Amino acid sequence: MIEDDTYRMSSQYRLWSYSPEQLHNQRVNTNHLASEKVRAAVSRARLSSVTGNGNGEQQQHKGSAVTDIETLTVDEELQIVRWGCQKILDMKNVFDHPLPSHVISTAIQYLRRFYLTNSPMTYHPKQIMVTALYLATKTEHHYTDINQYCAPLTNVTPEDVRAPEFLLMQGLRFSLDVRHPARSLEGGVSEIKLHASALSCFNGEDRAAVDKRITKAAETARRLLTTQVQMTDAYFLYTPPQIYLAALLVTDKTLTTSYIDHLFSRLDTAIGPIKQKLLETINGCADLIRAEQSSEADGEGTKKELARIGRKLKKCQDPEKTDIKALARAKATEKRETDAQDEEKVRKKRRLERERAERDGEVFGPELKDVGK
Amino acid sequence: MATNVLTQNGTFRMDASLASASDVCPVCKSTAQTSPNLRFKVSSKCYHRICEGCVDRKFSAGKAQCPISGCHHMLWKRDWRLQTFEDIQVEREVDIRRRVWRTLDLTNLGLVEPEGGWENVFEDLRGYNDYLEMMEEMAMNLITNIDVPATNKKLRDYETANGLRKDKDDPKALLKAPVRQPGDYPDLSGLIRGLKMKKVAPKQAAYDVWEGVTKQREYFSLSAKHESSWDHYTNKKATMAGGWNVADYTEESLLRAFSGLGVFIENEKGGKMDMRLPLATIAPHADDVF
Repeated sequence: MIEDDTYRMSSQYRLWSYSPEQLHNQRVNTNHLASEKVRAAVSRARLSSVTGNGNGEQQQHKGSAVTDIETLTVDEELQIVRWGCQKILDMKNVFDHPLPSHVISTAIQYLRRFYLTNSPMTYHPKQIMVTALYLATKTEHHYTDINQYCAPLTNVTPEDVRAPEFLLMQGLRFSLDVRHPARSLEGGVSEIKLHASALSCFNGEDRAAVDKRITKAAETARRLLTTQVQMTDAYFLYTPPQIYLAALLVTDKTLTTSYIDHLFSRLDTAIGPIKQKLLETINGCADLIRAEQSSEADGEGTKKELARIGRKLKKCQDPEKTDIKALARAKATEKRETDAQDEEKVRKKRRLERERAERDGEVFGPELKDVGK
Repeated sequence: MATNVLTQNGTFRMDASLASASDVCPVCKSTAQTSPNLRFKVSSKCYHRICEGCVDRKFSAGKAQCPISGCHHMLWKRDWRLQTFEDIQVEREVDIRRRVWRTLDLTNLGLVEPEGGWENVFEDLRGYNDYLEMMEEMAMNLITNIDVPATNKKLRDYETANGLRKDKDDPKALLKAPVRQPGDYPDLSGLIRGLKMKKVAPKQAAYDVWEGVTKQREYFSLSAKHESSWDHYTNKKATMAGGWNVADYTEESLLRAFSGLGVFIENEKGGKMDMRLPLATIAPHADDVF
């Protein structure tokens, strides 16, 4: 189908779509690499402090102890990222003008994508999430001045927001487009309303009642898409139309199934086998959403679990990457110094050339070659 | 008027009026002795030779008959010019040759001289030689007055067919010129034979800005009945002035609703891990901007 090929061209499909196994492998891989890095960094930190004391015996003892640092597991990492996503969602109403939901959704997806290749042990989400939201205001055409952006946030300076920006962009592979199912929902509802009279779930109901039911379902689905779906891996595993249909399925099952029946009765029979596959996929996505709903109900348990993970993370945070601002500043200084060094070299070369020319008495440079021959 | 006559033994006998290259003007009989500034002019039509004074006198008023008795050419003052060659026959021959060569010049047909010379315009050397021989034959025919009307007609037909004829009395003559089509033989009259056909460049397809992406949709077809949340902006001047189009918005949201409906990521991405390797496995330290 032409529309499907359009989606296949998007960066969301090319770079950010995975099968469940791939997604899991990716996270395991990231976790493994990050754990190793943390261990190495911690051992380096201890080594330097110990050599400062000049105690060789203790150094050996501590060096071996490094291996028993308890790093986060993949699930714990996910919990932390999820906490960051929840925080972004909470930031929505902090500003004078509440941010539109698509900006929030984009920011959450940026954070989720970033933590596929980075671990919370390396960069804590609390540092990245403000940047993700600020980047999302820019990419979603909702410009906010950085000072105004920082004003309602406690303990956040413009530098805090700017420092990890390039890091985040790199983690996103510089692909900033996010295809939201909430946008698909809009067109989908318009299509459902158009074909409402032909749907099997409304037999003989009057127009007003039908419209009311569709609008109500759409509103609930929209709320699902902007909140609970954001907490799941749906964006990685499914395409936007599948996600919005799943959200509709959760809110109004008969309406959605009758719409899908109608849709496929209209389309060519050639794509018939897709219908079964599509229903399976949508049901899978709906299960994901329902699981999220039920886990959200258990608020107290999650809170305790988060507190535990937070304590654990404090111990296994990469000591070399905690201060992103300082890292960014050091990087900038280093760049400035190399630039200055290069400039110094050029200047020295010119001076030497000039001196040599003056010594030889050729103030206007050497004789021109190949002229007049 | 027969200027030259081919005698039976094959040599030319000159007309008596042309043969006299004396310094006496045949009209006023003045000589270099009687008028020191005496200069002669020849007519480019009948090649008679009279003095400059007589040209001024006879032709200042406009068109007049050649003053040489027996010559009935009607001439303008501009037809008289200074002689280039001492021999009036050479003068005439050069004029005729120049006319024939200019008419049959291959550049007139829109041809460009190729790398190795004009013979490469022809299929083979024989064609080129035939062309040169034809030019020479026409020139000699006109010089020696053999088949003059037929030769002139050939040249005229050639000019007309190829749109080279500039008719003073007919300002639209050039407009009537035939239009050359890409696949035509270069000489439209067919007088010059054996020319190569011009290579016709294959017609290029029109440039497709969308590079094959169609506006066609398969899952849905946009209709005016589709509702959108922006419908109440449809006819607002403020919206339209900014170039916003609600129909475009509706179409885009419909496209978003179906774009990817039949894409099953698990099937399409599942087996192909190499299609998009995890960043961490390609470059373990790539995440380290600092």
